[in-house]
Amino acid sequence: MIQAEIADLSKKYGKEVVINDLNLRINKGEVLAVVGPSGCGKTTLLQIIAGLTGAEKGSVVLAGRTLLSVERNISVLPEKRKIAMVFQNYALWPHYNVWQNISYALRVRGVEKSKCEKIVKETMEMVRLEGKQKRYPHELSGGEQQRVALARALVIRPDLLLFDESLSNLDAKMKEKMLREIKKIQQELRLTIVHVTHDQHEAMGMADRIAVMNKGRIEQVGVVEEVYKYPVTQFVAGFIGTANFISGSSDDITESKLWRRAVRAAGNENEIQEKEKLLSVRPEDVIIKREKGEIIGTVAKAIYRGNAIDYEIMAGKRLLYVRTGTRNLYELGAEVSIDMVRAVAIKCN
Amino acid sequence: MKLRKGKERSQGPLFISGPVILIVLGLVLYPLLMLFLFSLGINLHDPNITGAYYLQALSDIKTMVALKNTLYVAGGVTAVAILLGGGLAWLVARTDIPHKRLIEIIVFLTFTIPSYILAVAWIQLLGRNGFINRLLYEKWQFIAEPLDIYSLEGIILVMALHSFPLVFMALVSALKMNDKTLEMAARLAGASRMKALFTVTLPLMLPNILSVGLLVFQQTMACFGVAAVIGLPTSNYVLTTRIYSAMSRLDLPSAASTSMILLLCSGVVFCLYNYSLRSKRYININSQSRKAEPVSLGSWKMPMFIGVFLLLSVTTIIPLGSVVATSFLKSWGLSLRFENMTINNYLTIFGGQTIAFRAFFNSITFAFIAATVTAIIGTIISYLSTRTTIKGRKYLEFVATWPLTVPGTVLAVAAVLAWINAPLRIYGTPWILLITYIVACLPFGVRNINGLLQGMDPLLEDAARVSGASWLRTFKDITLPLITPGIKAGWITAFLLVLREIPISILLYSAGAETIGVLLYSMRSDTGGLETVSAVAVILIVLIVAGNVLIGKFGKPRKEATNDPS
Amino acid sequence: MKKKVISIVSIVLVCVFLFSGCGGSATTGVQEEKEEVQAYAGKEGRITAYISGPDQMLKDIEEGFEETHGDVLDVLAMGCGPLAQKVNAEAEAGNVQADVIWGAEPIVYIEFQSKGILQQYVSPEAEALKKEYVVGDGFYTLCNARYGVIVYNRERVADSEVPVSWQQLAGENWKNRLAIADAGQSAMALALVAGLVQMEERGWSYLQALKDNGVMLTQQNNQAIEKVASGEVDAAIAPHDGVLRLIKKDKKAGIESKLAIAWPKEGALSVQRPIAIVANKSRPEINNELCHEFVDFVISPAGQKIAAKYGFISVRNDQSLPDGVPKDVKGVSIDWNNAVKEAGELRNEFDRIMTSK
Repeated sequence: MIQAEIADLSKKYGKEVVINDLNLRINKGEVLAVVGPSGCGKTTLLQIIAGLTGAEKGSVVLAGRTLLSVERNISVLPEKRKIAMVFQNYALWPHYNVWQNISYALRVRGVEKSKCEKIVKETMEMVRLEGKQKRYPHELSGGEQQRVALARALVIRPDLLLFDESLSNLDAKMKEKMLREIKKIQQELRLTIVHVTHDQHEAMGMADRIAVMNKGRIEQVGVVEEVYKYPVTQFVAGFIGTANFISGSSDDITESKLWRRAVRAAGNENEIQEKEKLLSVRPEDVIIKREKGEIIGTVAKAIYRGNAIDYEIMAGKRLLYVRTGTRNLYELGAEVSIDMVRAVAIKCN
Repeated sequence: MKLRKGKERSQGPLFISGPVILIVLGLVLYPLLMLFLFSLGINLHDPNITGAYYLQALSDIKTMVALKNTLYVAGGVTAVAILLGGGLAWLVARTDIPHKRLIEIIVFLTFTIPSYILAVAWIQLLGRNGFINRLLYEKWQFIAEPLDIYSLEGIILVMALHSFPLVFMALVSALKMNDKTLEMAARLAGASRMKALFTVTLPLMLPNILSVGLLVFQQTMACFGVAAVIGLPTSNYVLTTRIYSAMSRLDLPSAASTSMILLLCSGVVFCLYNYSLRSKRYININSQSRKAEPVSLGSWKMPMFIGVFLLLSVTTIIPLGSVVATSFLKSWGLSLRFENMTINNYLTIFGGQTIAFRAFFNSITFAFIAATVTAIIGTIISYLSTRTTIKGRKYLEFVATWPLTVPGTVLAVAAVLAWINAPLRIYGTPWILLITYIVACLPFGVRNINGLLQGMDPLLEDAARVSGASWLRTFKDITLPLITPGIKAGWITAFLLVLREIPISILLYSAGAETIGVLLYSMRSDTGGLETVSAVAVILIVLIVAGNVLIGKFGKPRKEATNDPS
Repeated sequence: MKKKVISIVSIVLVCVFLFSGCGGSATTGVQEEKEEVQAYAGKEGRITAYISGPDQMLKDIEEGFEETHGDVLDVLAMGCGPLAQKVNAEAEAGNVQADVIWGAEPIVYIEFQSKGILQQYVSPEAEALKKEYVVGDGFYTLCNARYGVIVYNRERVADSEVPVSWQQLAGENWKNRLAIADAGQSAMALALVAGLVQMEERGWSYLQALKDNGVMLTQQNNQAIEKVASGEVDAAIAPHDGVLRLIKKDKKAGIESKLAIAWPKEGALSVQRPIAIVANKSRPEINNELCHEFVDFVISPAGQKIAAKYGFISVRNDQSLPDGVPKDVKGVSIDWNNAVKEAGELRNEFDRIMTSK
């Protein structure tokens, strides 16, 4: 079931196009991560959804209600959208204490006092902030501030919850923990979440589906695994995970050998048309051996990751990223043969 | 610190922009437009445009010298006031220097002394027969030549001492709001205390410093009183003395055109100010605000305090003491001996004259209304200018701050031209005083609030909108509490400004609407002598201090209304 | 969309607003050219006077006049400078609000006369005036005189040193001891300078000599006197009446004043305070009558006695001199018409000399 639908959305700042004819559907009860490099327009997208800024074209529909339709001249005020948002720096109000921050949304809605207290109490328990209601934001740690921001967004049980780079200020451990907690709460409350981030790991940690955004457009949407395994564009392949791009148009001998091997690995040789001419191979799909083989390279760099080793192999004139298990170790400068087990044809951009 | 591109804001307050624009254009632009027409030689008798008055002013070497002097003085005053006011503000807001409240009170007291009284006090100290010169030059022969206050540097000294409380008040509130974690982060990152101050705190405070610096610069450019008392004796003219000279020879068009030159300079400075803030947005009011972690001065604590106290003695206590002492003198120029003291000066002010009571009552009423109206309009203008995308919002702000650069006398004449004829006839009624006071105070309202709004993270307001608060509710719950220090500072500045205002009062008052300014002027140009003027000033200062104490006692910001369960 | 509508509405409103404003003054202008009719600001049976002078004197004058006429006079007190500037600004806007103006210097009134804002009136009391004070064709009437004199500090000027002539101030021993109000800032100062320049054989060289003696300028005349009182300078050129009032005040406070007046032997510079009725065709006849009566009162013996109490010299030939003015005082008249003609040159030369190194 579709909870929100964004159609044909365009937005410009002056002459700069920030959102370019964007379409996106968000399912009810899912976490959709929107990832993309900074400046790709993802924060603007959130602001349009929240109603904090307008658009030149397009529409936003949430739970069957049109929130924005430029064509029909509809624009629901942000406070009437039943959307909540967790901001990048949390945007906690410095002059309010924790309780005042969290209860604000209920207070402005005129929720009856006892009911309000009950909800706030519940929510604070949910985000594990018991006993902190008298504190002011500056007296809290970063993680606690994050929780307050989350609780503030949760109290109204929004139709749609937006995260704007909300976890980027936390350290890695904390982030992991928060991701798990948020996921738990989300499932408990059956919340629909759009999580904007530039960090793919953060995105994968919580999301059911992932939307990769670039230059104001969504390049690909899909469940996390699908997007990783079957990227449709070079940008997606490069942004989500690491990828070796191999093109068929090179005159270099090693390059042509790599291309031919990759085409075989892709499996469906006949379908790969000349015009595409680009294959993406994940580092873990490249296999290196000491035995002599068709394609030869030398180890240029090795990084020990604990559970894996990342190598950079010089093959002909290019570097190939390879990830292997820790069983076989190769010293720098060692000569290895290269094989590939999986490749995907992608659109060049 | 977060740098953001100016992004389009959600619109809300558009419905108030119309009336405010009307008020600004009507009250500020319209009188100045009349003045502009006069500067072009357009008047009732001769509707033809001529640039002769500009040519005459610009080709006159004296105007150029005056312009140069004006810029020199304004620049000097701004620099000294920022150094002094900013340094003190940092000490009070960020360090553990003792007796902070005392420092704040003394600085505030400085601001209550009218600038011309301050100038006279400094002449008593540094004039040819001044106390310091008698001591250093005549008695101890410590210096080869007597110090001469009658110079451009003398104007800078007095004006800077008069203006630094403005800087202090604006920066203390901003520094207290400033995100201290950034400063701490910088120190953790290895920056020394000084380096943290210069690389993090100062750049963060830049919008506030520039905003109040601009205020001081423009105010100094328009200052007449001090320039007349200290510059004139040795023929050091600034533009305002030139303007007054044209006024006194009844050459209104020349006065108008010279005022326009002054306005133009102020416009250039304003553009520079805007340009310097254009590409960046500094956020220093956000969730982290108000973390109190004062820098420890360690063993410097007491020496620092003594240093500050000595400095404040020079800037405030000595001049203030001399004003109070003079007010009890039988005659100006007598030495401070008991037999020369009297309370007669106070008795003469109120002795059987209802005008004095009426003047105080009127001035306080006018000041209260003008300060309040100014605070409201100033808030709205600042809000429109920093939080909306309305076309020309910067011009609105600019026009609203114009009056700062226009000397009071010229402002009064512009008001005469604008409001004397039907159907807009309010000249001759108390309204014209009120309106002109509001115009004169408006820049202080706008400037004080603008700096704070510039530095306030708009996400705080977005968060409230998303939480379900309407635009108005957001403004009331979030924006207003966070800019209250600025509003207060603006209000107090405006209030004091009206209380001690002279030129506008004299030219625009009507029978029954006498003000303290009228009283001061007539005392001064009359038989009263300086001792009576000082007495009026002392009463003024006492009233202000009393009012402030009352506000402090009963007007303590009540705890935010909450329905906190515990 | 909404934004546009609002901004357009605001602009239109502002235009209407401005137009009504400009339109208002423009109409007045046209009317004035045709019939010279301007709105009358006051009420019938009540006149407004702008007067400069000591507060108490104005009060006495008002009471004195109203004793015989009832409550018919509103006095707006102000300094000489503001008086001239206020009337001038009102005149530029085409609507002088005062019925009678009294104070400042003849130069200002000659200027006003040329602007056509003064109404002719020759008082029946004029017959009693001293001959030299009957000038101005009735557009203004000189009603008191002030003498430009040398005021000095008794504690800092030895008896032997007390100047007896203007010329002495140019001497070596007065270096860095003098003050005078700036002719560019104060019309009274301009009048004094005009007098000094007009005096025989003085010319610019006298001003130059003062400058060479390091004369200190002030914005107003009373500030020059203040500087003498505080001991910053030892002597100043200033009008005598303010000095007399300060001496009187000190006497009342029980102390001997530091201030004293030296009456130069060449003569004190006589600067008169004029009174004039503002021209206004729509002023009711009864108010015109009141204006005439007020002018009559001011130059009547009663009015002159009040002014004399505050140190002003009477223009009548039947009045005695105020206390503190020597019986044998010699006044030097200034040629006002000439002074007005040369006002520009006077100011420029004054400026040039005073700013020279």
